[in-house]
Amino acid sequence: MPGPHGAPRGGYAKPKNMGKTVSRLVRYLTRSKLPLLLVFLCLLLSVLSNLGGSYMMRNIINDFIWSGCTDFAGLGLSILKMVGVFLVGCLATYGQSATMVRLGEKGVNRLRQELFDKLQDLPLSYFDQHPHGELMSRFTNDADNVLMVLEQSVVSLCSSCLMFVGLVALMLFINWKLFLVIAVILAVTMQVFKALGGRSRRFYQEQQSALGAVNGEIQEVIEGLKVVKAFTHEEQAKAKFQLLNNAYRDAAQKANFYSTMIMPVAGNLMNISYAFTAAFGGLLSVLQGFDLGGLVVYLNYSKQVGQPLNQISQQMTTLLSAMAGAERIFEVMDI
Amino acid sequence: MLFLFLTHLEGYKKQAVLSPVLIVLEAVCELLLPLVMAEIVDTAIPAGDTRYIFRLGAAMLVLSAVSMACGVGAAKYAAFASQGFGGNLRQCLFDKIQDFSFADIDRFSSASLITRMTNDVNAMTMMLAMGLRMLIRAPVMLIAAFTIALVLNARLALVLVAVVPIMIGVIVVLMKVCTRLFETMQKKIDGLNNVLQENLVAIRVVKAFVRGNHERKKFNRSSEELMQAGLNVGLRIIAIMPVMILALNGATVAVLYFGGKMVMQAEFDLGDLQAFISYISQILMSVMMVAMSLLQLSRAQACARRISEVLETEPSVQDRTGPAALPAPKGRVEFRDVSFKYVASGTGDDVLSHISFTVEPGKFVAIVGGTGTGKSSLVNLIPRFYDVTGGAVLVDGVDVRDYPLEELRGRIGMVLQTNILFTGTIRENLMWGRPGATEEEMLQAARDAQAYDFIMALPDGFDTQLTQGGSNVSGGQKQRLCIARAMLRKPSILILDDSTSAVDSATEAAIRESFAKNLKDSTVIIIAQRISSVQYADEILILDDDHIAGRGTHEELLRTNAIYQEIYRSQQEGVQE
Repeated sequence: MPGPHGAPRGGYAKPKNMGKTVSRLVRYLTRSKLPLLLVFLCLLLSVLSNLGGSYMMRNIINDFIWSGCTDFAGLGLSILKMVGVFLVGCLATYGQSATMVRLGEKGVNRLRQELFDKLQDLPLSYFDQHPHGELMSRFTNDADNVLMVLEQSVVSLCSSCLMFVGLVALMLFINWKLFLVIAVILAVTMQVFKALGGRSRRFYQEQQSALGAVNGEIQEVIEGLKVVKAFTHEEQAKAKFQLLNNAYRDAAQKANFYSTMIMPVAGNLMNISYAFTAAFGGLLSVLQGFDLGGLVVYLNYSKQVGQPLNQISQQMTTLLSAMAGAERIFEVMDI
Repeated sequence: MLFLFLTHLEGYKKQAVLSPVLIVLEAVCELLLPLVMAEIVDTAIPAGDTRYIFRLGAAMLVLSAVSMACGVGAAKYAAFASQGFGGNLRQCLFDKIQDFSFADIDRFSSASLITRMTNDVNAMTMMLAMGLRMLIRAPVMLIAAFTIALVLNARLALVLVAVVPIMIGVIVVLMKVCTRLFETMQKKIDGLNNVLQENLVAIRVVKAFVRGNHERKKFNRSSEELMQAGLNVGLRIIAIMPVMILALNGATVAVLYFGGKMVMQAEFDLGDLQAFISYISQILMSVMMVAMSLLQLSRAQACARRISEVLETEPSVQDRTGPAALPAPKGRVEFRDVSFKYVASGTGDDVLSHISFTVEPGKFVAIVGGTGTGKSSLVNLIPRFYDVTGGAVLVDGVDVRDYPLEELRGRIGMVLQTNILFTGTIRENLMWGRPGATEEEMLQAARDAQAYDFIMALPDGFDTQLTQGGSNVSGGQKQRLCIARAMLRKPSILILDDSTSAVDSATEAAIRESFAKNLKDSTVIIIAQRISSVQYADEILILDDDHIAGRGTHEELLRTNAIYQEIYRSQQEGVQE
């Protein structure tokens, strides 16, 4: 366990200088802006085609399905256009992910190698002062974490933001009165996220520091296992580990409860908004002649609008922890 | 893997059952929503019945609220069950590894044991925490939504017959490929860890011999292999998402076309069509979820296999059960025609072959020889760190395999070649030698090992905190602490495996003197490189390439033994330079 001299292991502190760390990481990803531009364009294309494709449903319902006519050819043609839009979106999604995976893996490889180079040049005293376990975890946990974020979180954050803005804009466009209902629910959702998120983060930090203690003990006892056996110290080691392990378990159970709870809470808040929307949409349709195609498309959107928010709140946690990890790596490099 | 889950859920069975039940309830409530919505579109709106719209809306609200309550309950039980399982598994692994013999440790390598205990256990716990929800919710959603879709319009449900098999086919193929690639990747991670750990442990050697560039190349190769493995997995896995979205959108479009035609011909209601589209996307999303969680499952499966490997290992050195009549500790050590090889190395070459010698109680015996001549292996056989492959090692006339391990190792004080101290105070570390020792005995051991003075010079004395691996004291100080730890044991046999290398000759002589004074009945066996460390020994054994190439006192060997003469000459030259 981290004694007075041991630095905390595995605890995810807040990143100290987020902007600087991110821009430095991006430089590892790619030196030229071209691939990043490509990723962004693909991203934009995939979001637009997804939103646009589903919006086309409104006219298909109003002009053909619910119009009383029997223009099957016209229906088929509109549907074909929709298929085309979806295909483009699909290709764009793959293009974006493939580029990011390549950049991410190469970037982390470069990061690992530079870190190792740096390690070779550090004075011996550095190794005396820093436990091996801590240094090891910079190479594996931290580097991996950074990799995951580069590949997924950043992209997913951007696409969630775009998606959210797009959905809100389309819903306002379809029927702004109905949007007021969603706006209230969204405000409530955000408050719930904030409350849950705050608690979840606190418990998560407790969990991480307990995990650091457990991992440190595992590292130490297994590396020194031969000495443990030479002094028949096995039973004491087991007893000490049990204490740490139980403390971690208790912390993890709490942290885990809050983070797992977010999913059903968010999902069902969206169901509640679906219920409100259905009722008010029905009323608007009866009283103000709101078109049914619009209502159907709007309902679909109202179910989706919670997803990007959920994504953003989840990705922010990983992003923060990864940036803290990246800072620990850069710390070594800057010695 | 299932077996692993079931056997380590002890104490959390109730939660492990309740959580899935609540998840099913939650899913069912959610699935009823689109049906109510269809009623609004098809019945309430055409009739202009606003009160009916309100009633239906209220029903949807109640359903959502119940669903949310179930979801929160399920999350709670899942968190308790999964983390409880993780804790149990971790403890079980830790206990198991404590029973490993040295050969077992060598076979797995400590780096790999550490990854298994940390990353692999965590991956499995996460699998249970997150995967359980998906793995149960998704199939329930799938079956229920499919049933409703069939009831709504069986003809339209044919679309699913076309789409679902394609989806499943793509997923299965991708999964098969990825499972294998994940395992490769895990091996590369182990490889990288190994290189890294070697370097950290031996950083002094690397620097002393200017091996930096060589190590760099080795690491870069490892790192690039890991990158390649990561790319292999990554580029395939990301194909899943677009394929799934394509299938989802394709199915929606198909339903819209065929269903739209039916509505235009007045064979189907618009509200039902809207509900049907909801269910279709629900079904395909569920298939996707199942796929995702199966993918996680496949990763967890690789982890489970690696954990089971550890749990299923029978320790190669088995403690004997039942009491035995044991002689009082005297310190007599006898090797009777001993042969030994490391099974782990697999080369089949004997490290020691047909070694026989006896050390009488209270004698001081030294073992010298070049690297790789089996000196360490030889002394490691005495506390039964490894079992002999032929012959027998006897302590006080009894085969070491007939001792309970605790009794045998209690008689032996061992200073290993790799000096390891643990996080904690110096006092705590020394007390490892004999947990019941008095303060005075501990101080005496420190004095005997010539460690007292430097300990007292530290700001906190014996209460000084050592960091992991004892990295805040120098190499020589570490060796002296390790010797003190072994001396505190008051062993009848004291073994020092090349553990005075970083101590200067004068200090070493003082330590040797205290052996003679305070451990005069104990047998002392040392392995050393320096002639000055061994020349006062009662007997010196020379090991050369798996056998004893000479034995005798310093003077005798100097006269008769070519190898000893050579070692002596080379060290004398060193002195003169």
